[in-house]
Amino acid sequence: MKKKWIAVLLALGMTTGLLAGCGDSATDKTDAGNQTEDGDSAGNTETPKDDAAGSGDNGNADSGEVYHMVMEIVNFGFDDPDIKMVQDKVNERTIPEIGVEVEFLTVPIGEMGTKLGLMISGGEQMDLVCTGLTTYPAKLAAEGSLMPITEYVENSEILSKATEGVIEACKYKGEIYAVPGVTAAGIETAFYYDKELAEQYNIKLPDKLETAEDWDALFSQIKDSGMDAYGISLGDGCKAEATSTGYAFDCLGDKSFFSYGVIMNDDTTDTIVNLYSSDLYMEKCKMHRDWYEKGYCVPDSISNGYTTTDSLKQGMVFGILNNHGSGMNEGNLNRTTGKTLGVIPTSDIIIQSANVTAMSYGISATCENPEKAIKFLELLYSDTDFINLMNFGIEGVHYTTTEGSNVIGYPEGVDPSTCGYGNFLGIPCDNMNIYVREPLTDEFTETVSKFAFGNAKASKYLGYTFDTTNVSTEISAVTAIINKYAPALECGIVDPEEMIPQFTAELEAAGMDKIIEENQKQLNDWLATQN
Amino acid sequence: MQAKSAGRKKRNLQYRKWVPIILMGLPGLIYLIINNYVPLYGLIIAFKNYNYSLGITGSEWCGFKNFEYLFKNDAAWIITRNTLAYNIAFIILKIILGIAVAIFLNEVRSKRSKKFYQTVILLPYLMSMVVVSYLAYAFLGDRTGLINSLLNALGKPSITFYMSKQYWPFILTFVYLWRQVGYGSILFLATLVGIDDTYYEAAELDGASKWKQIHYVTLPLLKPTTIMVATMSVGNIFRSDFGLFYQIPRNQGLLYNVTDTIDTYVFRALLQDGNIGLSSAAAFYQSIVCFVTIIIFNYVIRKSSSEDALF
Repeated sequence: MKKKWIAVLLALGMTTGLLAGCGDSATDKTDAGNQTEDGDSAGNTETPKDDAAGSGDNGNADSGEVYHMVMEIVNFGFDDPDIKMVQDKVNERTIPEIGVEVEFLTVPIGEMGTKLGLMISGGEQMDLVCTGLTTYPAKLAAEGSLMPITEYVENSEILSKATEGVIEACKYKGEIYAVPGVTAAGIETAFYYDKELAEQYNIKLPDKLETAEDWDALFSQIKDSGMDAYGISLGDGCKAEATSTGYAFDCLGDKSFFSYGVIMNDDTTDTIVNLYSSDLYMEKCKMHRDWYEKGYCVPDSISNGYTTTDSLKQGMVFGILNNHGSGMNEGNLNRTTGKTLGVIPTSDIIIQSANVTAMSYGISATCENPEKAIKFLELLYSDTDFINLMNFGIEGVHYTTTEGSNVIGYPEGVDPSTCGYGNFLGIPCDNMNIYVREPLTDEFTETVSKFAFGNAKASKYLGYTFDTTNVSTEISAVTAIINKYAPALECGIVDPEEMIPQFTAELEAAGMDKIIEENQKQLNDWLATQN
Repeated sequence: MQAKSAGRKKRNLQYRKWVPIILMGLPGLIYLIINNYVPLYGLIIAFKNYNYSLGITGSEWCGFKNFEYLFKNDAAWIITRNTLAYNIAFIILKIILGIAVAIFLNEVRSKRSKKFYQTVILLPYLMSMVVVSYLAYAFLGDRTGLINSLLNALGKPSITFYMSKQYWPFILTFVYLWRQVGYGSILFLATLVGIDDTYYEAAELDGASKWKQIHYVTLPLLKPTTIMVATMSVGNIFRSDFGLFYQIPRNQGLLYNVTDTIDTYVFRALLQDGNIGLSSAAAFYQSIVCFVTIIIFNYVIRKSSSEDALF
């Protein structure tokens, strides 16, 4: 009897549960249905109106209802206290002009790779999304998170002009999925050093750091000077920071692991090779091993938990390697490290797909009103006041200007650490004409055009994206192997002569050749369509 | 007729008796179903090429393709071996030490010191693994670590712990036990408190020493609890303590051979890919293996001593 009752009870519980479950999913479905329907109908009715507005050439014609748009802002995990204030100021302009009420949604950089997918499947609103940094447009497009925006970009005079040439890098299977966040997308690697230390200890600095001898000459001075700091930190094994290989090759999309194979710059053919079995890699690892053995670099940088920037901030090192360009430069690093930094380039300036998409923004697949999002982007690529507002905040509160100069300073009583706005990683915009923070000078704004398309050397493979569907299993396996060996090799902790053969043998067993073969096949097809 | 109505009455009566209990159980049951059973539907993601805009039902089926990467190279063998070997060692040591600590605590007579020891021994369990990782680093670090500072002071060369894999099985086991033993002993302690004092009085009258009392009274009475704890742990034998294996070795590539488990391997693969299909596949594989192990273990227990089996 007892048992029977328990059974009944269980059955009862389960049916209610089932009902509850059904109810949930049923309402979910109708909700979702409504949403997409709404989106479609809104899109349909909106389009002709917006076109009319567009042809009127003036945003003021938008008398329709205001669209609430969510924009992703990536930061380092702590939100700017004044972000609401700037948001209100932005809305003061965008609501009357283009009918958009923007909401900034801050996302820590560590979460940005997964956040978008979760928000889309969770039915949350997200319109303008960052497609760079730890991810890239082709990947997000392949997993269905982005909306193709080819038509909008091509029909928009502002956007197509601002992104001329570099937009190729944001294409996936012939469609545009994002707009490049920096218009001057060229980039070089550079050695950032602490100017004060250099003066104090009379370090003679070379113009360019290229060969192993150049580096040795610099580091031996530092070691002999009695400075209480190492020459360099090779980072925590995170590829982007540890590598000093610069841009001697095109990584064809995978900028953090180079797992798709690479094409060397000096190669006249289009042959894809495995970076890790190349002479270049052996040479660089040997150089780093030399630094490690001579005590030029922080010996425990791989496990002490400090990023290279942290080490510089703490005065543990004389300098670090990082990218240098119009987006990432001594201005940013001065702010984060609180030091005055000098820059020595260690490579040529080059434009590659990976740099172009590094700060790109796209429109999420669930965006209900892409026209409005595009209008917002147009403002960011045309209106200097608006660009400065989004990037630097409000004049008098977050920055001060001086007559006849593009350089801005901090208002009295405000310094980088107390400034209420600016702790985020880039806003997409035309960055050729905006203000720059001290201690950058007007000279920087004058020379920034050297990073622009047309002036900097563009990679031959700009616009090619590798479709990894057929080899995704191999890529996961290969990446696991790279994770295992590369950090220790690049920090100089292990002997490259001994370790690299073992490393490449494991890579081959995991299917590196198959990836390269597939990549080569796709690249050849792509090259054929280019001519 | 009369008999029937009497029966109905009786049933009604019984029904009434159960109503409050049903009502009491309902929230828990509903929670269990919503939280544990409804999401089972998501398991089909493991067999799909998941596309965010198409959703779960709309995405394409892809068979067992998501499972392939787990078995692509040596990694599958290494991570399975590590997961299993560490967990077996952990289960055995945790039970032995847990029982020992419980017996020691039970013998402490002063109430205040008993509370004190209990709290102290439980404290590590409440610490976040990230904090523990920095504690470990303070001991093991190359330049600033306590152990290496001591070695240097004695004129001996430093040991680069984070690059030498031979030390890690011991370090990980030590950290795990340091953190878990206090918590693991609670269940045993609760059983010990429930043991009737008369057993011990009788044993003392018979002249049994303390050791004999433990051997012949305490341990046999702890057997059901021990089997239950073991069965529960064996059910999770294919799941590793992610914090322990990821944070404590500080994700060092050179140590992967001895520190990589299924969870950390999958985590790193996903950190790069963000592929939901692959992670679901790994979770599915883990769940199936866990389910099979728990059934087998329970079967073995039922054969050897049926009253101790869980089901």
